[in-house]
Amino acid sequence: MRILIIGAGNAGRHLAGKLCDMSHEVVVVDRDQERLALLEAQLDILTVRGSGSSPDVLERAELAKANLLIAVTNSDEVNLLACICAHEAGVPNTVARIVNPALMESPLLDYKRLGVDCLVSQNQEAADELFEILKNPGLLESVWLLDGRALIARVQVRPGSPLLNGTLADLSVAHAAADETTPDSGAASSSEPRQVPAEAAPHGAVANLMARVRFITALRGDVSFLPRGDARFEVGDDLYVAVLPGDLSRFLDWMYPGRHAFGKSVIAGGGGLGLNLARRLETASIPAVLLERDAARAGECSDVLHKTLVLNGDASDQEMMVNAGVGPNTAFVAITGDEELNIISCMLAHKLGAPLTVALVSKPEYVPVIRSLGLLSRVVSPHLSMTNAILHYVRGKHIRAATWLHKAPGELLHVVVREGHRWAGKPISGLKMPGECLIATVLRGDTIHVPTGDLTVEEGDQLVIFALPADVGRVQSLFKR
Amino acid sequence: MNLRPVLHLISIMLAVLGLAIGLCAGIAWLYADPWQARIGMLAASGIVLATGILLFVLTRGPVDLSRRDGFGIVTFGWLAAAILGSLPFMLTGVITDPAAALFETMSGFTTTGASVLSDLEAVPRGVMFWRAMTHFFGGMGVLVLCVAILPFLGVGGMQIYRAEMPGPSKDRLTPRIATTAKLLWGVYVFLCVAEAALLRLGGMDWFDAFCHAFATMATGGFSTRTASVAAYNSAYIESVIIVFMFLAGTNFALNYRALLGRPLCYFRDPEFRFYLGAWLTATVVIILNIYRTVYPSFGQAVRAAFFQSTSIMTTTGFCTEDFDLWPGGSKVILVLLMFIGGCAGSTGGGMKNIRVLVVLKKVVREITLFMQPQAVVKVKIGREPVPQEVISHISAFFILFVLVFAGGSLVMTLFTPDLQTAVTSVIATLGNIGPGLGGVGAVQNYSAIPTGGKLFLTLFMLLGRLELYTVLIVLLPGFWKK
Repeated sequence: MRILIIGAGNAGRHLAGKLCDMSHEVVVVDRDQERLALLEAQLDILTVRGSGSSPDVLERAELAKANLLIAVTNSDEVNLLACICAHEAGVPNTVARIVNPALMESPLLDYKRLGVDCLVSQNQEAADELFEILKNPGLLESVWLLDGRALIARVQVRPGSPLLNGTLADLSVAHAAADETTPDSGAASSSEPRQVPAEAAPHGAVANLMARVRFITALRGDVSFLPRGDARFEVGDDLYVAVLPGDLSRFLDWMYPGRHAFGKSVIAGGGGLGLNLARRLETASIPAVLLERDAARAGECSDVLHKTLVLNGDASDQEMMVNAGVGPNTAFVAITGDEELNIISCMLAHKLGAPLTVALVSKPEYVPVIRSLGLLSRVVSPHLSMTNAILHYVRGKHIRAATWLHKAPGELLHVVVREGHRWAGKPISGLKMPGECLIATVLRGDTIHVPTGDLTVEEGDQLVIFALPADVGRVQSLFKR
Repeated sequence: MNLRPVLHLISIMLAVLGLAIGLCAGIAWLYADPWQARIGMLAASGIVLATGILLFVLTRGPVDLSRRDGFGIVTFGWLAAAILGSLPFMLTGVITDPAAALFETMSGFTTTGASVLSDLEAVPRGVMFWRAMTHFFGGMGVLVLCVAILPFLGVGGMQIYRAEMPGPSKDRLTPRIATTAKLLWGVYVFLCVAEAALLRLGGMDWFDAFCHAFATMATGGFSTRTASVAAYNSAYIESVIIVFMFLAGTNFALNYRALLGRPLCYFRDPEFRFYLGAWLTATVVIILNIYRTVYPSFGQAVRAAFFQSTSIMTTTGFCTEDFDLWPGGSKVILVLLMFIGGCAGSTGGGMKNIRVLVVLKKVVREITLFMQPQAVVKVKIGREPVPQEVISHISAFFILFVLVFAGGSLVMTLFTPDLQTAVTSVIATLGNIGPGLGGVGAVQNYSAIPTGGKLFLTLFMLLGRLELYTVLIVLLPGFWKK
């Protein structure tokens, strides 16, 4: 596929790298020669210098040949104009990044008619996820699938976690023995049909819960591994788990014995994202403090926030942080426009004992370095949610959507079992999976089914398959007609 | 530099060369060469192929190339190609001296076309075809060929492409470097075949037609005749060769676009306009200079001047006339043309027209600033201003080229007493032309140069083909550090 990316900023660079790795033909347009030279030295792509909203520049970039145009400059106007030009030139799909939320909601603009197929906004999606994390202590990342019906959650193994008591298989046996109703857990590849009454004994509830949970992938340091039945976990391992939305808090309670809600959430940075997040926390009645360096902006925030305490101060100032209440029972979220400040203030919050520290970091280059520091609980890169929205167009028709996980390599592919597909009518344990793939969840009609070994795949089922980068192509070809 | 992936890619290149030598062994059988030649070619093919396969197996693993590795692959790849590629000459007994065989092979791969052989008619056909094949592989770059055919290189392919393709800016036809490499090789092979067919029509046999087509399109200059193209004494053959030499000295991205039906793109390219202008000016001045003084007939002067100026400027090095007998003015023009060479992205050598053009414009800019210190003057190529870094990069290359040439001339005076021979042998190898003046002139060859001089000039051919930096970087101690 030939993809034209307008804008070689952080988002454009991140996208170009990902798409190039997926062996697409990538052309990047930007006004800054230096940025382009840097990008061309690192990636196998073509670069064109000029403004992405100028038709002659787009012509030079051979717009008409492109199958997809992605406009991710900082200017909404340029992005929209580029998409409109592309639509007129016959480019089948266009994606525009929108910064101004008013543009997203306005009824005055009919984007479909203008030729913009997809609008992505980093703020909205990042605010949603951060809200989720602050609402559910222990949750580090949430990826919603199948229109909010299923959830992939990232959790971390902490001291005292029941996962430290043995292998996954041991755990399920232990629960089953205590409960004597279900012999196996969701992690193992096959198990008996389970019809556990909803009101079960405490241990039974755990076994029941474990039966509905699927361990997707795990990370130790930077190395990912598949959590099979014989896997043992260590403190600090990250786990990606498919869990039903209704089970999330029960799963987190099990995962972190003695878990309790954050006493307070401190947000550093009252920009669009910070304000959005603070308002969401207000509606959910979660106590929050907003730190904003700029006095005028702090005033603006105070105008619209009614319960949140707005402080005018710098998040790199220790006294300010203590004043704001950063301490052992506080979640700290640093989402200012200054990435270095975000990282430093998170380290400070960590020192003050905050159990959850989240930093917004846009530069993809920083992310591995920050991870190796091991101090922050979570790095939010605003491009990921955006790339997930865009992947949908890249993966082609037979795959509905694809989602990247933040930390682990691999993709979640959303596929539909069509009539006469060779998987239809077979139990999951009898399927020949390409490589190390794993079915994360199954949607049949309107209900989610836990993909245990005995579940039979039916025509019309929607599957979410987790595939390592090397296997993505094989899954794709499996679902190609 | 990561040695394992570098050797891995070189091993693939050696396997390709081994197969090509095998093809030449087939030609040796076809033309019923003497048994020593047939066996020698087969043995050489076997050795090169076996070396390639052995190295391939020993260095298996993932190939992840950094920028540095690209330079390493290209420099060492070319050295390995020249060393192992000289086996067919030695094992068949055509050239017994290893230094001379290395010189001949490097001259072939770098498309210099300087030869140590004095009687080409006596060379077996198989060896002769291999000699032409070295041009063919070296012209567009044997490693760029690898980039085109190996699917797994990705960004690594770009590093190789950058290190091997001549010219300051690497024109890309498509976003993917492998696709670009494929297209360029496609154009190159297409033009080779087209020229061979046209030469066949002019009365050459297929063997000579292909050998000359390879030598032309690669801007090499190895002929199958001792007297070079003069041996055919055909105005038709000479015109065909002039046209194709000129195309070979043009940016292949332009040739590609022209073949797609946009021939006007040539004239929109500022470098091409400069190339055309320099070529026509030089030719006209030479005609005026040699008409009456050397050639009594105007037609003869035109024919000689056009062929020789094209051959020298595109750095091919075919000869129809002994230009050593021409007046001094014409000789100086020819030597100046050697410095200019072909266009960026062509198979020609020299400094490349675009660099000369930028340096000249820079000089004009400086002079303007002397008169008008407040003027804001940008160096522009066409209508595009050239970025400051590019200008300084090109100026540095220009200076380095002249310094290397001067240093080389000094060293060559150790090997040959004649100043003209020493100086022109250096530019003729550094610019990948082939014939120089005096002792290495049009009707002479390099066999008289002592062994030390031959090895020295071999290095210069490599320096010229890989445009100095690629080779010089490898000599820096920092290159070898992890």
